[in-house]
Amino acid sequence: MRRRSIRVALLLVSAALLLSGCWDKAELIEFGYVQAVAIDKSMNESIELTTLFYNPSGHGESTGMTAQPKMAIPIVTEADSVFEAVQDIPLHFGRRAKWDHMRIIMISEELARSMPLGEILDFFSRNSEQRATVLLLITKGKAKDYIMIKPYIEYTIGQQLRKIEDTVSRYSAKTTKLPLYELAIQLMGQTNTAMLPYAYTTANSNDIVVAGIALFKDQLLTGNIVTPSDTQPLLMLLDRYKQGIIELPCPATDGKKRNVGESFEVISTNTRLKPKIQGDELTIQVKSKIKGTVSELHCTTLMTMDDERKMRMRVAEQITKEMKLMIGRLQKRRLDALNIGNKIYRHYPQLWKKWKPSWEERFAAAKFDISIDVDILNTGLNIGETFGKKEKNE
Amino acid sequence: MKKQDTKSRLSDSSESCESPQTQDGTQYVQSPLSSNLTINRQGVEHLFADCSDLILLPWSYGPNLSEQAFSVYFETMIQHQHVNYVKETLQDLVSHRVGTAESVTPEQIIRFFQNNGVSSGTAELLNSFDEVARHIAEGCLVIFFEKWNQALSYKAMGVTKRQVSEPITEPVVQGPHFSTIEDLNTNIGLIRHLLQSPRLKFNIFTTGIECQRTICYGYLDGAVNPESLAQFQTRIKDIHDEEILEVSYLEEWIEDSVYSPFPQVRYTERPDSAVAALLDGKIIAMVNGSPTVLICPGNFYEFLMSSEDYYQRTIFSSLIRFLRIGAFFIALMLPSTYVALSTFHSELIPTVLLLAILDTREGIPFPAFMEALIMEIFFELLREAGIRLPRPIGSAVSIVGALVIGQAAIQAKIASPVMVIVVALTGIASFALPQYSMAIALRIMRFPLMVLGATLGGLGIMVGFLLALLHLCTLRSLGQPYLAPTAPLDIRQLRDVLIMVPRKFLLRRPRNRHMHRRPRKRAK
Repeated sequence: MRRRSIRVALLLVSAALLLSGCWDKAELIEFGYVQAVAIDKSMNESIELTTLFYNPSGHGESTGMTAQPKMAIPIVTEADSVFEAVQDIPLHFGRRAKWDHMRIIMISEELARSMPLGEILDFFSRNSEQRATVLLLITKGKAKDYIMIKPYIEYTIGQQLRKIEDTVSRYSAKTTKLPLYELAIQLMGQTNTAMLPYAYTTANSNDIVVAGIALFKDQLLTGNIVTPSDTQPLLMLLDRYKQGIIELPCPATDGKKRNVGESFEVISTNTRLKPKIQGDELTIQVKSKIKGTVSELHCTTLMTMDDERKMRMRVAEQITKEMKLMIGRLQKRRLDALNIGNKIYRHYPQLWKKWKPSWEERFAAAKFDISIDVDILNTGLNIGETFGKKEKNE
Repeated sequence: MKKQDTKSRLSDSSESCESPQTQDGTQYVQSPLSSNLTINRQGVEHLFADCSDLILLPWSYGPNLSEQAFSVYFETMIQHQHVNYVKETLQDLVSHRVGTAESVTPEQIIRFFQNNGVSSGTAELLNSFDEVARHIAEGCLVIFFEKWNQALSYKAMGVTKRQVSEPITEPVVQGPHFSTIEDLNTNIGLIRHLLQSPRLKFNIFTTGIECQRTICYGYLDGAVNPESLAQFQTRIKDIHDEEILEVSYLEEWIEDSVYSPFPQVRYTERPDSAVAALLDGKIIAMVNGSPTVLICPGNFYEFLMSSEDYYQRTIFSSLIRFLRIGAFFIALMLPSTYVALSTFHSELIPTVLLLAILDTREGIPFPAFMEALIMEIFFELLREAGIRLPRPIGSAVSIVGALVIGQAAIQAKIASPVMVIVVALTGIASFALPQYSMAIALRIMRFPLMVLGATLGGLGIMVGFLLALLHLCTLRSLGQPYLAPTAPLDIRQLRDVLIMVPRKFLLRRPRNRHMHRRPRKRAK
């Protein structure tokens, strides 16, 4: 019995030594931790990869007297493919890149227009280290310039951009949050369209704005960027809308200023697109249920049931108008960013086989039947009167 | 009575009774007492040669002080009171039965004791040198009379003992504030006082050749599991000649697995804890000269409980138990988890935390495992030094330790602040466990787990944890499963494991099935 237990113990110890993953062991300080990656087109038409590494000794307990070193180190490598460029990083940096904590991948608009997304992102989707939840961003101008900008509060610009993308898509719907895995799903779709958030710098070049959506067709960026003011209807149609504000222009009556607008804060939306097929005719039913609160009142009062009904109508009309505008643009571009093709493929696979070659034209000719149901939950802390106005009835 | 002072003292202060001339004494050991006073006296002197604290006091009595007698005792162990048992009995003897001191003859004394036996419970008649030696060593006063082949022995033991005081190792905020002491009889008295039932049994026996230590085990008849009791009795029977100095010596006879890091018996110095254990059907054991009460069979979850749990509000007690379970896992696995995360699974650390760790790790020359090992050993050293040192120096150790570990090691870039947090948290968590023996088990287990975490990562920790869990599942204490009532699962008994149900329901039925579902008195 004792002998047997000794033998088992020896076996276990040797197994632990032989099978242990000691060679996989790596101390934290053996790596450089990638925070952000910028992919650009270089001067000689190859790929320029700027990798932002976190600089651990960059801060911490500074005595205040010494100047703070940089928090992040950008390394620029150039090669014909992304992976080759990645391979060159240690040449400059000395440490291997660790992709686990990469926050964002930025692709310059120029590159996105000329090189298919699949080619650019293949390495990142294949690499096991890095997460599929890494966010993507298309930048106006060179992505490298964005990576060099100093962050406001966050440790690195990668974190700041991720935060912006996250917050904006969540609260103001001026852009959408798009992780890598979602892009992969989009690219697998039948319509060959994709969309990515868009960033640009303001006049003060240290200030990055993430707003607007870049639309892709056949993996290439095409046409104009959807401007921040137009993103809301697009996101609503895609049911990616979370929260946001609908601007309502005041009815241009009595001599009031035209540009005064009222605003309606959307708290939740639920939109359903349903393709209806009658022979060769395609009608898409858009049913949207919107809940929200009145957040600014200037030229209307909301005191009676009738007022409320009018307000609801106004909001619905405004949204319908914006949606129609958006749909019109997409139809003009023959770009099915609404993924209606996918829906048809799912529900009528036989029909889709027939329709697929001529889908762009069919989409352009499709009719949209929009019905919007608005629910006003409250008028905030005040009653339905402009601030400072006395109630008439009392 | 006239004293002839023949006391002779050696300047040697040693009061050891181990005689270098034991051979001289052994010839008397088995032999019966003689009726010749001189022979008896020589025998005693041989037995206790070189024991300079032994007092041999010859005196005379009877008509014209013609009769000889002598009394023997250890001066160091005897009650120095003006009125003690000897005097009481002798006075009793003189005034009521035999006559005045001047007229007492040896024959009268012999007749008195032979006919009436010993009137006082504190006196005994001795027949052999063997008994005499034992009685003197136990602190009795022995009187020899001329012409009598027996000796009178009086219990006159009077060694100073500690007062019943606040429990030092298990203080509570609420609840009784008295603890057991080194005296066995006091302890039994304390327990009997709290559990006044004829079903409370105490078995007392002595072991050892030189020490003659009294060992006592008790149980509550009807509550105790008969199988456990039978096991306990057969195991304790093996103790014959072993010198048991402390109750923890018994542990190795009682426990099932000597090499397990997990404690299989529990200790307390609180009589109320002992009584609660008795009511739960446990067996308690005590040794004269040790204040600790051993409680067996041990159960894993008991080591996460404190007697104060039952004195606090139910919700609070339940929350505290969750906290302790958290502390258990922190004390066991935090350093190994940190090592595994930082060497194998850095992707599992949240990004902002990782960046913070990176800031502190940069510039540390050691791998995370070595760093953890160094800090843990530092901490163990400090702890050991703090425990063993006398109290005034002990505080100096903690100051130096706090500076060395907390400050200097970080500034010298030997360890990172995160590691210091990890080690400190581990230490605090192990202090949060109410039973010291379980904390020791975790200290032992922590290091192998760290090695596993550093070689195999999270997988290694999982393997180590599973092995420990397997061991716990197979472990038995006096034949009872150690992980009960979770393995084997007994849902009814779970009411006092992780959460404590209100005492109203907890005490309504006895917690063990051997009590035959009789409602407890306290619950009424």
